[in-house]
Formats: sequence, structure tokens, C-alpha cells
Amino acid sequence: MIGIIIVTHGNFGSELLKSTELIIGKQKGIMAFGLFPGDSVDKLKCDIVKAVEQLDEGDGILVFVDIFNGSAASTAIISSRDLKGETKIEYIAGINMPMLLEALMARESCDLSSLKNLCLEKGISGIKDLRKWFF
Amino acid sequence: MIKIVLTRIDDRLIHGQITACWVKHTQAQKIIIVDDEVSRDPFLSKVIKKAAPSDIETLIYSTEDAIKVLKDNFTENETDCDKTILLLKNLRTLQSLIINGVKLKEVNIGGISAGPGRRLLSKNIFVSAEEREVLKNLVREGVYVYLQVLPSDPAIALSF
Repeated sequence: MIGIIIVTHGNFGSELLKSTELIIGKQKGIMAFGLFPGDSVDKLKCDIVKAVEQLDEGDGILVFVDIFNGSAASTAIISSRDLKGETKIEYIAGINMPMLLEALMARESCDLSSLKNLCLEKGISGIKDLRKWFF
Repeated sequence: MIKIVLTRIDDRLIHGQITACWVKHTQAQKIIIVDDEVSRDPFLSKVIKKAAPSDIETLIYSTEDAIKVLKDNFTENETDCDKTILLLKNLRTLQSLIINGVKLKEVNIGGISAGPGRRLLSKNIFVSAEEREVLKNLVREGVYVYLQVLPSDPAIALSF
């Protein structure tokens, strides 16, 4: 199973995970990290590296961050330097619920690269002008 | 013919748990909603239909029409007909269907929210004394009534 790591500013990631679990139930093989005022990005970097090692079962890791030009994103990418060579890992910025739902539901039936593409597609198509969508 | 793969009491009708989990779990191709209030309200009907996945046909019936459609016209065995989820908001509608000859063997109690006169039955199930009686009668008549929010949760059979 592909492991999932969420890195965000504050509690966004862990709360998004809790909200998603309300819909599809408790999940395994996923960890969320928040960056709070005063936190060291080096500590976050170490946490991400440890989480990757812990979650990787050989199928790889998909990392979601909240915003592409933030410290969550840069820290996630910087942490990739400290990983052992054999870990397959992909990163997506701009996490939302449709994307996370898809990742959790599809991660046992596809490889890392297809999962990344599927999540990008579902994350984007999940954003709608709601009035136009309904009527 | 209609093959009912899930009969569920859920007062939110079509929502995330249904579209993300139950449709996949049951491989349903169709959702039938039975609710008098919704069937009379074109606005609500439109919104609810739109909440279903695009490849799922959603039909909304009044209790009266549902009885005509469902009575003697569904099976829990045949393989060559549309797998259908039957969704009802409340136990009153379920009781009307059963009294009028819709032979349901299994009913999933998925979500009934708190309200005046309703007491907690299980984590997200609240029932009034009257609704409790409906459940009791169903169980007595041999219907398998079970509590299960998500397919990944254990099904808990109701007994009184």
C-alpha cells in the first residue's frame, strides 16, 4: 500500500484527515504534520524523513502539502535529500478533500505514478462553481 | 426487475458516505429514494440527484409510487438486473413500504439524527419511542435490521 504524508501550516492537514475519515472511516498508513509559529523547519524535515521510513512498504509515498510556495512545500522537498535512495516518493501541492479521498480509496489498486496523476485530476475536477454544477 | 443490494435508512439521503463508500462496496448502478417530501419538491429532487455520482441513475418516488414500483418487482437474487440502493429518510416510510407488501429482508440503519423526542440508540442513530416500536416489529417479523455507518464498520444486528 502506498503511504501518505500530509504537511500543512497549522492543523489543516490533521483536521482534513479527520474530516475525510468521517466519510470513509479510520485510515491506516497515513500521517499528518503541521507547522506552527515558532516551529523549527529542521525538526519538521526530520519528522517527514522518519514518517517516510515508517510508512514505506515498498510501494512508495505520496506527500501532500497545502500550498506550493510555502515552507511546508519547501521543507517536504528538502527532506527528499535525506531519504535513502530506494524510496519512491511523489509530491502534490494544493491538497483538498476530493484529492485526499481519491488517494485513500485508490492507493491499493494503482502504482505511485498513476495515483499521483489521479489525485491531480480529482483535486482539480473537484473544484466547481457550485451553482452552475447544480443548475 | 430491481435487485436491491442495500436498503438504508439515512436522513441525509445521498451524501459522501453513500457516494464514496456504499456505491463502490455494493457495485450499485441505481439509487431509489423513497420520500414524500422530496418527491413533491423539484428543487430538492434536483439537488439530491446531482449529489449522486454521474454514472448512477437516481430515481425519487413518493411512498405510494414506490409501493407500485417495488411490490412484486424486485429480487435479492437475480443477476441480470440493475443493482439498486434503496434509500429512505425515516422508519415511517420503511414501515409503509413493508405494510403495503414490499418484502425487504434486510435493512441497514445508517443515520438518523437527533430530534425532539428522539433518544440515542447507537453513535449516530436517534429514535423516538414510536420509531423504536417500528424497529422492534421489524426484528420480530424476521427482518435483519443492522447498524452500520460505513462498509468498513462491523454490522451490528439489532435485537430487543
